[in-house]
Amino acid sequence: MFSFSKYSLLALFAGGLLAVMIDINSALAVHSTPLETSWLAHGIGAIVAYVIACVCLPISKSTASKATEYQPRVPRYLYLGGVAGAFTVVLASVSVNSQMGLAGTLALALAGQLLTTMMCEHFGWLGVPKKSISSVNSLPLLLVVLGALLIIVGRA
Amino acid sequence: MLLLVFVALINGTCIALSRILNGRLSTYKGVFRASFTNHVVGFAVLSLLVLITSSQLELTASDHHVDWWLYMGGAIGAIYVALNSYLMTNLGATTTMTLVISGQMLVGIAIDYTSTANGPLWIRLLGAIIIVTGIFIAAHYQVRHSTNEN
Repeated sequence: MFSFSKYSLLALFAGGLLAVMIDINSALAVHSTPLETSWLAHGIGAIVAYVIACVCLPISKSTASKATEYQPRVPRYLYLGGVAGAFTVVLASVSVNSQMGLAGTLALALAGQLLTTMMCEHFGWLGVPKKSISSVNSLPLLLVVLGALLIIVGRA
Repeated sequence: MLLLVFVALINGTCIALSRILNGRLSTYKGVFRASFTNHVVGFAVLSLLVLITSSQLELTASDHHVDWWLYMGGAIGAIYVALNSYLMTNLGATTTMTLVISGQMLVGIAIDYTSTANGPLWIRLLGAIIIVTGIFIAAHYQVRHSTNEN
């Protein structure tokens, strides 16, 4: 399954980029505030996302055309993803600049992410297909929490 | 300490909510338009919050020098969205998620290790391996589950 290709390397690199991004944002928050950092990151991110959309949309036209031809009404609450994203940068900055450090923040964020996704699946919130919490699908959460503990303890 | 653990976990909750909502938005608008919308909505909300909470911008008020690359976090985030969707179509969800988290944890530990002198490295690397194993199982299970349904 893990045939090592240029894509695999790119995926590792992409993950590294995420870590660097959170580290950079948190460093900026030391100079200003977590709120202002998130504000700046979203402003600059919006400009870059716009440029990327302009460049990539014509290239991926063949696959995107289906989505643009069929335009059902978008449920309003789906736009709230941006609000959650705004708080992500704020909370990560606070956490990275504390005893949690970058790796501890990343590890606990994964735990929180898994737990939230599992709850949405269990209750069918936000239109997520229902899937009950079981011993099988809580194993990953257990492992991530254990790993996060080791990382935080190993830092102290 | 406990409060900080809580902050870090809630950060994860925000990431999950953002990904779920944005993922669904992108089924209507496509990945790139959804990413742009996501950034604009975040920026609008934050503009309001910044206006309410701070009487003056700390950055313009501060007299110390800020390196230009510290402003690049937002740009990296937008690039990552494009990169991730490209990888998903070429590697599949399980491999992409597992490798992205691997890279993220390794670089995270490396940055932590170089910037702050502290405890033994091997414990943290063991922690990262356990986390990546967990993510691999989660991603694999999720992909199998969804292909069974379709």
